[in-house]
Parts: sequence; C-alpha cells; structure tokens
Amino acid sequence: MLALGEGGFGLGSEVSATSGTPITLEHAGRSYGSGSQQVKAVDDVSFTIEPGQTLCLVGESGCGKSTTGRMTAGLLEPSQGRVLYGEKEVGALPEAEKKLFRRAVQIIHQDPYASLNPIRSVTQILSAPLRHHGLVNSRSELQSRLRELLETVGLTPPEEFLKKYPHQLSGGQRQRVSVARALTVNPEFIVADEPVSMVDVSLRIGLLNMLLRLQRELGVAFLFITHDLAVAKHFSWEGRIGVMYLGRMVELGPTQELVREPVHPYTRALISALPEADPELTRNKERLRLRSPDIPSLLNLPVGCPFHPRCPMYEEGLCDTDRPAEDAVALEGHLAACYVAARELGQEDRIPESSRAAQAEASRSTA
Amino acid sequence: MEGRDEVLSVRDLEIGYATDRGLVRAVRGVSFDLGDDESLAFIGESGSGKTTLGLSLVRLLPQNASIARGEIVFRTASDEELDLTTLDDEALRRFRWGECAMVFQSSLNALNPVMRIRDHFADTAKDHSETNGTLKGRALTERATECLQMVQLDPDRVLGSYPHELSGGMRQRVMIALGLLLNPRVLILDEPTTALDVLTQRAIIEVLRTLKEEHRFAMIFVSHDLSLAAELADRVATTYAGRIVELGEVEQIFYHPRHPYTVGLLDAVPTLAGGQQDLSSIPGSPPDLIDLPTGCKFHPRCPYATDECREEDPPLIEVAPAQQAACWHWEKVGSDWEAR
Repeated sequence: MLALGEGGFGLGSEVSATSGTPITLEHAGRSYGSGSQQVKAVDDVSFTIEPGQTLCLVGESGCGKSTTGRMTAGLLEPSQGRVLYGEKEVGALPEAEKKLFRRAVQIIHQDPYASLNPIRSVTQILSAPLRHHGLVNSRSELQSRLRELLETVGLTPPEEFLKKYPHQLSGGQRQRVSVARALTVNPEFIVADEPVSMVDVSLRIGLLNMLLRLQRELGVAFLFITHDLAVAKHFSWEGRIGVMYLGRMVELGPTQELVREPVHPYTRALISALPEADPELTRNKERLRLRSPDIPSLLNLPVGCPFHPRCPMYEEGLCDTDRPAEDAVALEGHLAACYVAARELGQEDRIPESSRAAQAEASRSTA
Repeated sequence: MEGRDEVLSVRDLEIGYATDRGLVRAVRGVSFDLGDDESLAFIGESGSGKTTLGLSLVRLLPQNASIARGEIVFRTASDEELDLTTLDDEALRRFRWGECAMVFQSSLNALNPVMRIRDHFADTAKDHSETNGTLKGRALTERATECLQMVQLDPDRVLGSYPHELSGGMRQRVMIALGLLLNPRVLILDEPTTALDVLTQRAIIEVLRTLKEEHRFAMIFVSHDLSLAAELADRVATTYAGRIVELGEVEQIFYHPRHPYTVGLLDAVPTLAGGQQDLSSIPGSPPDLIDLPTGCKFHPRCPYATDECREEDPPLIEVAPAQQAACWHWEKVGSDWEAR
C-alpha cells in the first residue's frame, strides 16, 4: 500500500556528524506559576533514549506527557533538572551544535490541521527546511528529494500532492506531510505527540506502520506520546513504555513485560479499564476498582504517593507519608513508583524508614 | 425481531445537505428497527453519516439539511405511531425528551456555562412539560436527584454547580442524567466517550451498562469507537458513506463479519490483550459525499472489488440469521475470515 523504493528509503545518504547520540532527561521538571499557584506540570522525570530506540509515554490528559515531549525536543527549557544530548546539556549548547541538535531532533504535532501553514503548498512546506539547512544544491535535486520524501510517507504518486494545499488533503494525508517535513533534515530522533489520535480509525494503523518502518529502516529513535495504551503497545513492541500520572513517571519498563505484568496499580487500573474491540473479552475483563474516580488537582497534590486517594492497594502510613521515588521498585530495566509493590516484590529495603514507621504507627492505632 | 416491541422503525431514509459545492448525500437509504430494550451501535468513520442519522431521529437537523425520502416511525408508550418526518413543531416538542432524548457529542458545549446544573434540569422540564404534566418544585428536584444518582453523581454537590466546576466525565454524566429526566423510551448518545480519558471512559461505560440492566429503555450509540460497541451494544450497524453496510448482533459483527469494510475496521484496531498483531489499515480514504463513486461506495478501497461492484450498489441482504450485509462477495469475505 505504501509505495516504498525497493532498497528501503534511500534517504539519509549523508550521515550527520552527531548520528547516534542518546538523549537523556535527568530529574527534569517544569513548573508554571509561582507561590501557592505553582504547578509542577512535570516533576523529576528521568530516562535515556538510545539511538534507534523507542519510548512511548502514556497517561491521561494533564499528566505532563506533552510537556515532557517538548522538553525532550528542546522546545521548552526544564525548570528543574537537565536535558542532555549525549553528554552536553541542551540549553547550554553553543550555537553551531544547537543547530545540529535542531536538525537531529524533530517533532510531529498532534493536530495536522493546525501544524501546517494553510497558505503554503506541500512543495513550499517541504522545501523550506531543505533550503534552510542547505541540504539541496539545485532545483532538480530539490525536486527529486521532494518526490522521495512523499514516496517515503506513502503519498503517491508524488506529482499529485506537490502542488496541493493543506485544505485539499484529508487528515491522514496532512499528517503524512507533517511526517515528511520532519524527515526533510534526516533526523535521528523524532518526538511524536499523539500523531494518530486525530486521524480516522481506518487510516490510523497505516500511519503507525509507516512510522514503525521509518524507525526500522532509518534507525530513527522515537519518543512517542499517546493516551492509548493499545497504540503504545503496537508502536513500541520492542521498546519501552513509560506511564505518567500527575507529572511523574510512575512506571517505566519494557513494553511486553509492562503490558503483561504491570507493577504499579495505576498502570494496572489503566490496563483493566481500557475497552477493547472484542465483546467477550471486554465484557468479562477483570476490573480494578478505584477508590475515587476524581483526579486530584496539580495545585493541591496529595501528600505521599499522588495516586493514594484513588489507589485500591492503599495502605495507611505507607502510602501517604513519603512520595515513592520512581525507582522504588527496580527490577531489571523495569521501574515503578509504588511502596506496596516494592514490599510485595521483596524490595522492602527501598521503602524509607519514615514510611515504615508511619505504617507501623497506623496499624497500632487501628488495633 | 419477533417477541419484542419495536419502538422505532426507520425505512429507506435519505438525508442531504445543500451546500455550495452540491448536495451532500449524508444518509442514503437507511432502514432499521429498534427494540424497546435494545442497544444499537452505529459505527463508522467521520463523514459516514452517523451523526446526521442520530440528529434526524430527534429532528434536530441543521437548516440546510432535508429529508428527501423515507419514514421514521416511532411507537409511543401509549402505542401511538408517530411519523417523525411529518410531525409539526408542537408535536415534536412533546416527542423530544419525553419520548426520545439525545446526549450530544461535546458536553462542554452542550451545557450552558452560566447556568447551574439545577437550572438545566428545570429548563428541560419546563420546555417539555406537556408530556409529563408539570414537573416542577419538589417533584423536579426529586426526579433530578434520582437521575443524577442513576449516573452515580452526588446530587448535593452537582445540582448547585456550574458546568466549569465539573470534570469532563462528570459533565458527560450530567448530560446523560438530563437525557433521562423525562423517562424517554429511546436515548441517543453521540460519541459518549470520545475525548474522555481511559478511567473516565470506563466510569461512563459502567454507568450506561447499569442503566441498561436496571431500566427498560432503548439506546442508540453513534461512535467511531469499535470498543464502545463491543462493550455495550446488542446489535451493531457498520455505516459507510451514508449507508448501513452491515447490521447484526454484536457477536456476529465482531466474530463473523461478512462485509469487507467491517473486516477492515476490525483489522485496523490494536488491542491490548494478546501478542503482537499484524494490523493493516484500509487503503485510500473515505469518499467525498458530494461526488460518490459508482456502484458499491466502498469499491475503490475494497480488496474484493470486481466489475459488478463498480457498476451496481449491492442491497443489504440477509447473510445469516439476524445478520445483514451489503456486499456482492459476502460469501467469499466470510469464508476468508473463517479460514484465518
């Protein structure tokens, strides 16, 4: 269905000097407002994405996944912690390296209706970055590059699309143009923020599969942001999933393991709540009942674990004293911020003394 | 369907929108029946005419839309037959809400931001009071309280609130409670869970499931989300380019589809259960409703398309007990599916 050249993409003949640089978030956070009105949209998030790897961020609206994506792409400075490109802090890169970073890291936005300039044709949209970064030297080279890009994203025949304006394209086609634009500069890393959620169901998988093929054949690393766990599972089967809740990473682990054996109760709640397109399965699925349906406000976060007022595994003292660190449970490559799970998985030593004391106190008073 | 009372019968319905570019044929020859305790889901992509169909059932179509043909017959509780296409304004007012209520797609836009929830209930009751005698004062508060409890909201907190003070999921439940206020026989829900977070979606689905089990009324869901149909529908109608292309019981549609479009949709949706899936999307894009293809409207995207498909639109025919499909090649589609 996607007309791809026989030998793969044929893009990226020129390998950029920075090829294969990991991107790391180190206790990165972003606050808005000040004083009592201060909101920590993202708080203490850490991860590394190695070249060619995929990390999917999932979570409900307001959990900070988009903010994390924007920090990773260098579009937003963290107010706490650091974002590293290789060994260097992105915010402090000298101008020349910054330009390289900007080329290496691209972003695909959620809304293809808002992210393409309506008065520019596809040709104009795609040639601007090519010219800006001096990636083409002649008109004929530009033309063949444009054609190649459109074929890569499955807009064939390219002649039919080159002269079109965004309003003449469907949502799915627009999103493909956005992807082509991100590819103009041979990026090594793409931040994709809900790239398929505004595209029709029947076309969604086509777009996802195309991105997967880019990942495989061009070795592009992805930070893929979605609210849909099933999409995350499909996209990062070989990669990792990070689950965010109220600005924090509550679980991070290899996709297959995380979906099969989630550790954090929030992840378990999400998985058990997700409706599936299979009547028998979805009607008989075991549900994890939450203690409260309401998400607390970021302005007034609960003390201790931010999930405790809703958590079915809540234990007085243990859960509402200290906030569990994101690696309270640290299995091989699989982290979760939950003390109850830590205890159940034999990692009691990771629970701070104060929480253990508070729990002992609480159980004494109930007895 | 025998043995149950039908509350709604739609026959050969045609609806078009007059636009500058020409006539948009949003609903083309749709026929179906709805039992009085049944839930029916219309699934399809944007532009498949499903919202137009929903709006037509309460005669709330926009100005430029017109019903060109067909009938929508509604049987009231007193066994009266109403043809909705010919009702006058006064009769319509009695019909809406009392007999058939609709929950709209965006709960944020559907509630008046400067009115408390209490006043939304009062307004609705007042506007449609002919059907229910007069529901006001204490009786109204009691009924509103009851409806809010039915959707698992705390009436004391919600009644005095303004819409902006409630979360998206709470507003959506308020909309459902408002729909239930006058005890309608049919509730139409347009994308009731779209744009809500997973846990909120789950809460809405559970509310609807409980309502369905505990109260006798019919529901029509309009959604692009197959999983909503899988959760709640008794029967499913797959719509494409303004037509029902497949209609049947939910298990039949999900486990034994006979229309290539239904098959395509099922193959395009990732699930969380199970291993890695080989998913593919349907090639091409949905058709332009002003300039429809000849013959079967799905043929440009269909792997089974033949000359016959390009020439003549297949009728919706019985392919199994309680299952209909509109495809010339339904037998082949079926045997390929079962052979997987």
